[in-house]
Amino acid sequence: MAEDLFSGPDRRLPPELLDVEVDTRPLAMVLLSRSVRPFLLIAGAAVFFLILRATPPAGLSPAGERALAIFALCVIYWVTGALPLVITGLLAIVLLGICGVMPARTAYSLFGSEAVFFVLAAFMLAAAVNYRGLGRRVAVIVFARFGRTPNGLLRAIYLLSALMSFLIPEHAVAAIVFPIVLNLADSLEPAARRTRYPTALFLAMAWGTNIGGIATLLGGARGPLALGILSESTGVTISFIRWSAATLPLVALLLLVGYLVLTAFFATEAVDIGPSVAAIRRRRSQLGRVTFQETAVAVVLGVTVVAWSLASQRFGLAGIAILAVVALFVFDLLSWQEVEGHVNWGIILMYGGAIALGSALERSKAAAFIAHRIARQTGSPTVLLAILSLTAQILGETLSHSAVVASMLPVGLGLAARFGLDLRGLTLAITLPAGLTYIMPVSTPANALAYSGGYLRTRDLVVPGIILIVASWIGLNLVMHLYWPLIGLGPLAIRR
Amino acid sequence: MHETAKNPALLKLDLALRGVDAPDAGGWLELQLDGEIWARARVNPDSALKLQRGAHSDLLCEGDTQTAVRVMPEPEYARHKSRSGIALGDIAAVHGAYAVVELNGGCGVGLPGRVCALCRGRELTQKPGEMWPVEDVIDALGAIFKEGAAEFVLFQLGYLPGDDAGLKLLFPYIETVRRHFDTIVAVAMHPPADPRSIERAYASGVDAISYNLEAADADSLQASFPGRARFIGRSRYLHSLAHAAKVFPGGAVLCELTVGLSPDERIGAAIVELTEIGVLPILSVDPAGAHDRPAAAFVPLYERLFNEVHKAGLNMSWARDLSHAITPMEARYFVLNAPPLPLLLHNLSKNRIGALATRSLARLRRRLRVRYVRASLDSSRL
Repeated sequence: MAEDLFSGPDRRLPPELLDVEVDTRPLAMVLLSRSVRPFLLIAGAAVFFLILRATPPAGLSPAGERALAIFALCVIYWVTGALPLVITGLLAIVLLGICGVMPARTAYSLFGSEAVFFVLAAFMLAAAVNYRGLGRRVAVIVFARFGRTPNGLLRAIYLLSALMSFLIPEHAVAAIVFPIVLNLADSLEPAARRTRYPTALFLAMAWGTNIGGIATLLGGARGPLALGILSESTGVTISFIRWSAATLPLVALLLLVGYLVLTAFFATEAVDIGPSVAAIRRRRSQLGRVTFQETAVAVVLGVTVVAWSLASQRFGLAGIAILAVVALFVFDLLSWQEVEGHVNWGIILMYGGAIALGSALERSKAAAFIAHRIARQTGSPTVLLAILSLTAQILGETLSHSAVVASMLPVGLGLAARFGLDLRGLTLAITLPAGLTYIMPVSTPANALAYSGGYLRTRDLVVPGIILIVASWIGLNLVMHLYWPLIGLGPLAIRR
Repeated sequence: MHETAKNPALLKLDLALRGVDAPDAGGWLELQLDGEIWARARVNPDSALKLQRGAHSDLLCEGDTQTAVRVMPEPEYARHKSRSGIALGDIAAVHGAYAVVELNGGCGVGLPGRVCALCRGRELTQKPGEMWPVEDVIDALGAIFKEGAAEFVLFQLGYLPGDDAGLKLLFPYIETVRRHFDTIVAVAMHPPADPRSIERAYASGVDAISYNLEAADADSLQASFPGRARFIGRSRYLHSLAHAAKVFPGGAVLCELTVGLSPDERIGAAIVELTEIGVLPILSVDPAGAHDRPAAAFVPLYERLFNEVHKAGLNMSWARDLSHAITPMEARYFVLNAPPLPLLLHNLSKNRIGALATRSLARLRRRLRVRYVRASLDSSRL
């Protein structure tokens, strides 16, 4: 007479409810933010047509003016989120052809950037780590081994999140670590849950992931995007190993500062973590023996990282990454269904558009024109770099990191040419701070997940977050001027 | 009865405590009192409150005092069967203005005299029992609404292990009810371990939710519901209630406290605790725990209920037409010179246009507040 819904198909969670967010701001603010979209769409289009119909100023070609109009339209839509990033990216490519900035065929061909394929392959590698359970196993083992005391557990979460973000994208790390941290926090006794310790656990995950995510090109897709814009616009590139060499001292410094801030603000109380330790032990005992698939994925990932470090100049980052993906399929470590579920195809399309637009600005000299205008305001490259890095960091707190890079880098490259700065150093000076976000839930997937645990409140993060933002900015500028010249990346060095 | 005759809320409380002596009736009676207050009374031949049935009206008598009441007839729908041949009365019951559908055996949450195995102290780890087919539930609700026997739907979900406390089971029902009827959907269940389930519940179309503690303090919870204390814990109730209060409209998150299970002062403290986190408390009664205290002895508690809810500025209209518990709005009868605004708003929401406006605003609020993010994480954040 009745149906067993537990096993029936109706029992499954509707897919649209998997990732639901409820906006709990005052209704008036929600209403305002929802009703503002049509105005933003119109404003973007108006700015586009205004620039398009104006007489080009001296120093700007008609093609450059049209590229600038498209750039302004895209920046407005990317920054305000009036359209999804991917749609704006596609719009950019189409408009480049329609407006005659470059032949449509050329615009579409820029989709074939190596950076796009590198990001695609990085997503696939992360899918294998996730689906084969390697990431979960590593996290559980590390937490069980080093997380026996409150501070030990905090350090384990913090450092492991950072180290994992060296190898797989931040969002994948957060997706692996978050359920474990949530379980640990929920397992605490009520008295311990009322302390600030659970907040510290979630922040350790989020801050560790974000800081670790800038270490290599694998941590966030903004790195490959920046590399794509750099190489398509100027022909210059940065190797995997040089990128990491430039970032690691900064990452080490920020991990230290972040840990000090974490313990100073959130984890000073003595907390009984006995139930959490028991919970993690239970999880560990449930893992069972290491499977062939986990070992194989670890081997493929390890070999890939070594190959990126030693042979990326010869075979290219994307080439190695795609060969690694092929290996995953050869050994049956990944299925296409899993790839389809894990890869964010939207971001791939968006990157194609952003890279094409960056290239168009460079080729049409529009970037140089804007840079010339900005350069009039300041004569000091040091001040300019400080402003650019601070702007990228502040924008990164509230905007998509990719949008920040796509909007700022083309102009930044123009400025680099104007001031004779090293293009690679400038690329890093804009890309790295865009990923160093500490306060807002919308800034990164790791922060969003940390907030969704229910233990974080924005007002608790303002002071420690600002300390970290300032420390990151100062740290970046110090590293930029004192360390990067030693490895041939000093932005003030002669342009290469 | 002199006092209760003048105060319908006090009469409701008295009926809950003493029951009613109703010839030719058994089990429970649903009554409508003065001021359109719903009451649920246990049939108790020893009660001094006697029910006199008349052709046109019914009377509650005690000594020479009489009060006119309306005994709700057994609804017609219960005599019919669903498309699968299940008696509709088995699928859904009518309590107050609610069509109550129990899933997975229901639980004590929200209804008196129903304490499940978990509440008694046994951990439930097995799969849920068989559930009513969605189509048959729709048949039952359709018949109830057609007859005008109820206005709203209340799903009552028994405990299920898992992070979402079984909420997943409800989704097909909620989705189908939303598709077929323009009504308010309420859910009474145990609190989930994963707070995101609360947001999913709201997004799926649940208008009001209750996680009923019943026992006001930790000691009483342990004593009355050892299973809930052990496997769920009071803190999860409060944590979930506080989170739900941020997600659902003001006043749409309810928590039932049962008078008699805890000392009055602890219930008073729990009322303050709940209203401070934006939760609307409602008070039911356990006659056995009241130890023959008269209804008037509980008046200060109900007075406090109204005052604290009013002080917290919570909308009292979401908790209405419940027969088994006294709502904050009904508790106004215990307060001298109760402020008129809550009553005005409540009356506005009760008429046809007001009810339509309430439902429409609830839908609009959901449309504005709920956002869907792709499972692979929003591309804008990479």
